[in-house]
Order: sequence, then C-alpha cells, then structure tokens
Amino acid sequence: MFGKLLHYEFRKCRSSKIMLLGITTVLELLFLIGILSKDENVLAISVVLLTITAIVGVIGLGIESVITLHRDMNTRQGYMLFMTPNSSLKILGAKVLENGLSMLLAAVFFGALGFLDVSLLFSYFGELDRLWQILSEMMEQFIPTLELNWGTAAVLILDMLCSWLAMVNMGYLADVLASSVLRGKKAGGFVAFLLFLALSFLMGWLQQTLVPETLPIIQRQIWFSVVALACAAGMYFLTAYVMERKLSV
Amino acid sequence: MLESKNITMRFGQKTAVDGVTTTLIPGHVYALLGPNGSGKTTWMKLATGLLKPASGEILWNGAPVGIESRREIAYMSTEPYFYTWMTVQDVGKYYDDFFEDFDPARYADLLSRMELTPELKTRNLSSGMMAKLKIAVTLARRAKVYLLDEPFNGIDLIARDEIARTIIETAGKEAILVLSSHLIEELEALADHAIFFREGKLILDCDLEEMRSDSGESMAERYRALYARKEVI
Repeated sequence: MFGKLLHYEFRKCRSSKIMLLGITTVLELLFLIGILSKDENVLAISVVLLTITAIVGVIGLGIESVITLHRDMNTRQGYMLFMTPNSSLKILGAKVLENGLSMLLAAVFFGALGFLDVSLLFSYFGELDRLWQILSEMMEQFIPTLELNWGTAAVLILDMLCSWLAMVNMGYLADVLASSVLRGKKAGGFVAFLLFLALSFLMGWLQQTLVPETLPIIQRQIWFSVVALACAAGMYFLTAYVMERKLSV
Repeated sequence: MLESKNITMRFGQKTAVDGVTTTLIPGHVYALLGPNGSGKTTWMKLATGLLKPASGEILWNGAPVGIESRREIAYMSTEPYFYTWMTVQDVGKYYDDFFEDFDPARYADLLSRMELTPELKTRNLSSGMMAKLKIAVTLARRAKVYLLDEPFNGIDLIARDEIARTIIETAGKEAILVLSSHLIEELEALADHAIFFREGKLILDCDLEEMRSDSGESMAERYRALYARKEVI
C-alpha cells in the first residue's frame, strides 16, 4: 500500500512539475535559438533564466511538498488520506520519499541539461576543455582548497540536496505542530516558525560541531550530508509520532 | 460492536462532544439527531479516528479505533472531500487502491443508478451530483460500519427515495449503519434506533419501536419535544 501512497503523492504534485518542465522547455528553445542565431543577448538571458529556473525549481519542489502536507491536514481533502488504513509513518514516509526523489531527479535533470547546454555552447564558441577550467577558477574564488572535478561537483550537489531535504522535514514538523498541538493557540503559527528556525540553526551547529574542521573539504561535505540526513530522519520520526498521537483533521 | 466510552472532544474552549457513552450493535440502523453544532459530526469523526479525543475512547470490537478499524469503518463526510483533479472513475480507483472491501462492480452499478458517468470531473459536479458520488463510493465498500453524515443533503426528493433504498439494501443485516440528517421523516423510515445530541451531550438513546409503543410518539414528535422545548424556555 506504500507504493499506492507514493503514487498519489506524485500525482498531487504533478501540475507544478509539468509547469516547471514547460518553462524549462521554453527557455531551452530560447537558448537553442540564441546558439543558432549566435545572438549573445538571447544566450545570456536564456542561460540566466535557466539557472534561476533550476535553483528555484528544486527549492520550490521542497516548499510545495510542505504546502501539500499543510493542505492535507487543514482542508477536507485530508479525509481522503487520513481515512485510509495507513499509519502516519507510512503517510509521511510517502511524502518524504516523493519529495526526496523529485528533488534528486530534478537535480539530475537540470545537471544533465546544464552539461549538455554548456557542451553545446563550447562546441559552437570554444573548446570544451575550457569549461572545467573556468568553473574551477570560479569555485577557487570561494573555496581555495577545492579541486573541481566530477566527483567534487557531485558531492557538493549531494550536500545541498541532503541539507534541503532536512530543511523540508523541519518544515513538516513545524507545520504538523502548528496544525495539532499549537492549533487554536495564540501565535501558534509564529511559534512553529520560530521552532523551524531554531531547528535549522541546530542542524548547522551540529554539522559544525560534529564534523572536524581538519578534514579535507570533500570529506567534510560528505559528513555534512550524513548529519543532514540523520537530522532529516530524526525530524521524520518525530513528525510521524506527533501526527499519530495528536493530529486531528 | 462500536463502543463510545465517555468520549470528549474540545476545539479550543468549546466542548464539541461531552462525555458521550453509547454502544452500537451490528444489524441496526441508528439515526443521529440534533440541531446544528450539537456534536453529531464530531462524534462520527471521532469514530472514524479522524479526530483525536481529549479524553475517553471509541472501541471497535474491543480495540481503539485507528488504522485497523479504518479497514472496516466507512465514513462519508457531509462536505465534499475528493481531490479536485479526480474524475468519478479516479475516485473509485482510489478507494479500490486503499480499501480491500471496495467492490468495483458495485461502484459501477451504483454510478449507473445515480446517473453519474466515470469521466466526469469532480470539480465540475453540482452539489447534488457530488452528494450522489459520495454515497456511491462509500456504499461500494462492503464495510462493517457505515457512518453517513447528512447523506440526503443537496439531493432532490425523487433521488432521495432511490438513495434511501440503496442505503438500506447495502447495509444488510450485519452492518452498523449510522445516519445523521435534519430530514427527520426520511430518517424515521430507515432507522430502528435514535441517538439524540444536544450541546455535545447525548441526551437520549432509544429503540424507536419501544418509544412508539411506550409513549406513542414518533421520532419526529420526540425530536420536536426535545428541541422545541429548549427554545421556548
């Protein structure tokens, strides 16, 4: 039955994904027109907009997931979910998995598209080898010890995804608390938001405290991802517990 | 057997259900009665496990209602609750995916009796069609308990008779059927027990046949006596 829950979670968020894909397609066409016409203005605009779409898209998927949970808890549509014979662990688990997979797929999709576009750009305007050199020089401005290659790029993206997944899980917890134990309380929503901020700081503090600064940058990022995933798991179990015991829909 | 043991539910300062104790036996049809805000809907949601009580408990065959009882208790809310992207067919598929007791053939039959077609989008349904869809999908489950909140709301007189027949036919002799409605006369023809609520409290729980023979009152007359009296005071 978990597979069914997962299927319907994907279905609930389908419209926004179609919209994201539609916007990306239009911008990609703009990019291709820029390449074929060798119009630098069109190229620059399409590259900037594609980059923004990729970042906002992945972040937006996480935010949409929290909004979907909020809708499930606070509108009549929630009966469809909560009257089924599924535990809160399963219901929330399907949401977490749907969101994690969606963000991962979106990151892979935009990463592959970005690589293809940049390759195309260089095949038209320059050499592909220059790509890594330019990106490496850019990254060295921020992290001098970083040597950019496929491995490091993957680790950096993984860390960002894990951290964002943990933030989304904190959003779930804050929202479930606002919709259950804090419901009807004065400034309940504000208290839940403060809790979300406190948990975010706590995760940052844990990452800085538990992961030694002496580790090489890549190993540090991997350990940051591990701590973020552990935080996400902790939030997940705590949220499911509160849902099971306290949530009325 | 569905047992409500001293169940209480509060929303902030308001007590919606206040210490309700009653036992519902399979094979009976219960009319849940009372004015708006008397606690009928809240009690049904508690029995489904959608609401968590402040105190007390509801037991289904001896175990607290929750994940397991949802396999056997079918609830129909008075408000529309289907996802707006669903068609009538999607609604049936959803129930079939999650409820083992759902009978797709029966759903198809009920849809045809209610004059609903599978490709209709739920967001385009009129209130009457939506009410029929809720009834069709709920009754297509071979549940052991049916909790139907205002099943006749938004339905015209002719369709109401058909729905009343369908409800009784579906419930059979082994299920518990609980109906809430403000259409007292319609309910009286269906129910054999009545549970009266006022301000969250259960004020009367009676066998209708006994009531008729003991006091000579119909359910509607008892309703008027119980609630009109308070308004006069």
